[in-house]
Amino acid sequence: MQIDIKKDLGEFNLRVKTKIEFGSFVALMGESGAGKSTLLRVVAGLEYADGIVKFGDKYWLDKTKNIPVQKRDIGFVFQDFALFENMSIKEHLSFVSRDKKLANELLKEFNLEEISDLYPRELSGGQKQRVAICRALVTKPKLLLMDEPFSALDHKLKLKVQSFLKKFVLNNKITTIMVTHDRADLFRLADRVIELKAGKIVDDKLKSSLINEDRAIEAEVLGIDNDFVQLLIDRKIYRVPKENFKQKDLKVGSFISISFDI
Amino acid sequence: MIDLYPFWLSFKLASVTTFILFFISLPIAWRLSQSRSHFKPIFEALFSLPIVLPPSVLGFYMLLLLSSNSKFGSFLSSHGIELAFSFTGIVIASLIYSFPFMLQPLQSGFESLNKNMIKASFVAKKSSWTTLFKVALPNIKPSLISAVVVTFAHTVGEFGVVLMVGGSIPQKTKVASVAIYDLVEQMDYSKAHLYSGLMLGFSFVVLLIVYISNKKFKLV
Repeated sequence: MQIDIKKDLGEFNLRVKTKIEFGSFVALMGESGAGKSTLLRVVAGLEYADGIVKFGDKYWLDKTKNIPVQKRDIGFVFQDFALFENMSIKEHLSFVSRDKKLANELLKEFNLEEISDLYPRELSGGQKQRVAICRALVTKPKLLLMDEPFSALDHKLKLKVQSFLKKFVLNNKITTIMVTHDRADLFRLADRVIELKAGKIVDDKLKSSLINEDRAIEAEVLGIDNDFVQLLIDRKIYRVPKENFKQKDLKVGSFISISFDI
Repeated sequence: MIDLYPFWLSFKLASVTTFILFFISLPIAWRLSQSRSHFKPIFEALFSLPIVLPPSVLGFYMLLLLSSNSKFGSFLSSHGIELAFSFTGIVIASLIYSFPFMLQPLQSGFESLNKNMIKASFVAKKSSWTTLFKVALPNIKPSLISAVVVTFAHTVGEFGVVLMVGGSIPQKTKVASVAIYDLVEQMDYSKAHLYSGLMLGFSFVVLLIVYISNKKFKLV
């Protein structure tokens, strides 16, 4: 997949030129307002930009055309979920796909089976987000675009959803681009990380190289008892045996640098 | 003895106008809500003209257009169609006069929807028409009810345009509002009171329906 686009965003120009390998999982990182969501929307065809978007041998966007979103074979998980207020969870999936078997499988995997007759107004944020992911997956798109897709999920559920998602996109050879702020999501899912700053790519690395560079991770000391130290890393709490620490002056509330095996 | 025919005629005129206007306005409102064209304000201003234009001005031009003295009118006349001073004529006049009352609530209803919800339907490869009927329309029920009820009520209350285009022909173009005018002219105040009271009651009930339905849908 080839992206070479330019768009005036007022304060700066979004200027992205990159190639994405077919079937890969790319995480898009960067500060809020860096242009990540706009980039996703341009690739999807939801917003216009100058330049080229090419998927396989098909040009979705170039100087002469801008193929409508309906013809791009994509799945999109919106940051605000964008559920159809007049449809139950079950109806969401049947509206976008005729594959009932897959719909039922997804409902089961995402713990939505028992509440599938409920409407968006009756759901919590986490449930809505899972419906949004299901709706995007049930069509088995060639390209999956996700804008902060796990922000409303609790940790346990997030791990389950991510584990299924990883297998699903691999088995179905779905190229995926995901906007995230969470480094743990990135490490669990992505093959490659692109960082945007003020509309431009400032970093583009394969995850393997990132892990080597980033072995030292910052952790907050949450608590210390006789045998264990409780650490907060990427919003996740770990209990690490005290003997692993060389530092003798660990203090609750302080930040330390530790090695972290993914 | 009270003549109920003008009320029946008003009801018939309002029903036909509302029915036709719904199908004319729906695609236009949808298209306008989706449009980012620079020409959009021009169309919006044009379609809103009947709100600010005096009914007599609109009625006057409609009468000129439909009468057999105009090219359009004489063309219709040569095919045996007489629109001036006919029920069909006042329906056409009402369609133009009441158009913005159907269009505007529908358009603002569509514009108030979450844009991403509409985009999500497009992402799912649904056409603009499927998105309109399956996603957009079911989610603007209060606007839909307002548009239909207000258009109906507004057409019932129409006076100037109907009088100019249709005159006051009993059992043909003499609707309730025109009948009241005739009664006042004949100084038959007791009947005028009765007719006016009925219209007043009707208007109140219509507005009550709009507010109750809006409240109901907001609570959901």
